[in-house]
Amino acid sequence: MKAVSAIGVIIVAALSVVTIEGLYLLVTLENVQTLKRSFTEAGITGEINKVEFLKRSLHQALVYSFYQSQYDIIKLSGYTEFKPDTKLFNGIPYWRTYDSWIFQENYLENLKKTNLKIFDYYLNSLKDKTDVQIPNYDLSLEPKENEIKVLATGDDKLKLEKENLKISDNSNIIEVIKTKFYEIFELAKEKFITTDSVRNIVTSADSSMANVNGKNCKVIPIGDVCEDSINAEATLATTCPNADTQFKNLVESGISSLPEVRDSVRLEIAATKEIMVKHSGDCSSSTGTQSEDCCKNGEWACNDQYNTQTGECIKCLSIDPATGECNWGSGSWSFVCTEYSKKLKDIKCYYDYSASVRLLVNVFDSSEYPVYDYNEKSTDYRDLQLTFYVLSGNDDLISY
Amino acid sequence: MKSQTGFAMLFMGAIATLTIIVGVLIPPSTVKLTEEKQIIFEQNYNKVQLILLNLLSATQDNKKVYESIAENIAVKTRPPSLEFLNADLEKLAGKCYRLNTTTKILIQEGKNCKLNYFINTTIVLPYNPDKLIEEFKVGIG
Repeated sequence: MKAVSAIGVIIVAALSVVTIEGLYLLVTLENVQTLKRSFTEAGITGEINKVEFLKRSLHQALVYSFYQSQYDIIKLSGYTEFKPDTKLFNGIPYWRTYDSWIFQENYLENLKKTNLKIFDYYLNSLKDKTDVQIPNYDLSLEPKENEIKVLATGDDKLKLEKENLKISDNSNIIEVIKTKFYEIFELAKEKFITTDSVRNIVTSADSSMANVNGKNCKVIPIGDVCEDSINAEATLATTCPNADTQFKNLVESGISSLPEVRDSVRLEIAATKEIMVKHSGDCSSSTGTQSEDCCKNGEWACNDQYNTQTGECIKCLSIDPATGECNWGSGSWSFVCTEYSKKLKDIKCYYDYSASVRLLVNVFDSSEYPVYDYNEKSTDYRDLQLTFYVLSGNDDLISY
Repeated sequence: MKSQTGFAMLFMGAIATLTIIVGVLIPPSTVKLTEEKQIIFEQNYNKVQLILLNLLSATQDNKKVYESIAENIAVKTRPPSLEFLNADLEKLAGKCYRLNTTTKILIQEGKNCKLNYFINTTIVLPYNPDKLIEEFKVGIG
């Protein structure tokens, strides 16, 4: 009986162990499956997050590369780099030299090129730090009012491939960036390329010389005058003393009206402007006849006795009663006109005023962007400043 | 004799009961506890990742938080303050967190608390030819 009881206890114990192990194994297997699934899910979520992190960085890389490229391009007046034939003054390019203008019509294309180049730098840096495959990109820019839409199009999707895991996501990036880049260029273009504001100012100043303090310094009537006695300069000096200074003041006044603010974009003219002026005058009349008033050529004639040997004009003042000879004295001369010139009627003197102006123009917006400056060698908040020279007028008195 | 048999039967019953209790309840709960801890860690880790993702995507005064962090790291003068992040991080992560780069701590709350979860990511900086990206680390307790 004892043996039976002992065997029974052993059997029950063995069954219990087997049951426990079985249950344990069953639950463990089930839990391992759950755990595996959970870890896989967590792993997938982690990898998806990795792609999401990268996407945010790509967006920001596009924004920062745009900021930098617009700063670089605007600093170079729309150029990607100055060419040997770029007309510069003090290292700053001319946009206009009299009738010829040099405007980088393709400044948006240059912005795109630089943007893509800098964006590529960012992509290369990011590629070294992630196992997500980043495609190659192309850019397109679409300027709108006060903003530029930047579209980066990848030639493939963003891909992450690992054991039992493949993630792919749309690689295209769109950023709408608030900027006055386009407006700055267009304002400058409108003022100095589409229209030559400086020449217009000079032309207008020339016209305004017709009424300077109530005096007409463009046309000065001097009445009937012998044609040989006309002196335009003397006439101007008499009627309009300091005419050139007056003209220069008018030009300066016109230039002072150039600065403007358009929707937060400011156009300013540097104080170091250079103005050269000159004038030319001409007096003429449509009618005129020879007049005795206007002797062109003549000679002196002796009214008494001309001594051909001495060239003297002598006169017998009295006769010496003793000798019967003359006491000679000086005779009188008179001028005899031999050729007459025209006496012009209603003569008027006409004056033209010319000026050349060299201006340093600065067009900027107060918005600041975090950008790198190669001269200062630092990244800081800086605004967009478009700076260029304009040399214009109605005569080329200043050389470039 | 009868009492011996009765005792054996009683003993077998006790073993069987114990077996059921131990076998059915203890092993699964033991395994479950371990697994739960690991899963909770993974879930929390992912949660921290999401917190960071949300944080980077958020905006403050029309400026992306991502930009504020990047510019705080890179801009020389007048870098933007990151103090505003404290309120958001406190809501999301409590009173124990730290945001830092390899070279400096950007913001920190609870200096002596234990940070259990760390997320490393790469953050893009404003352009500088010498440094375009920076390692960025978020630790949460």
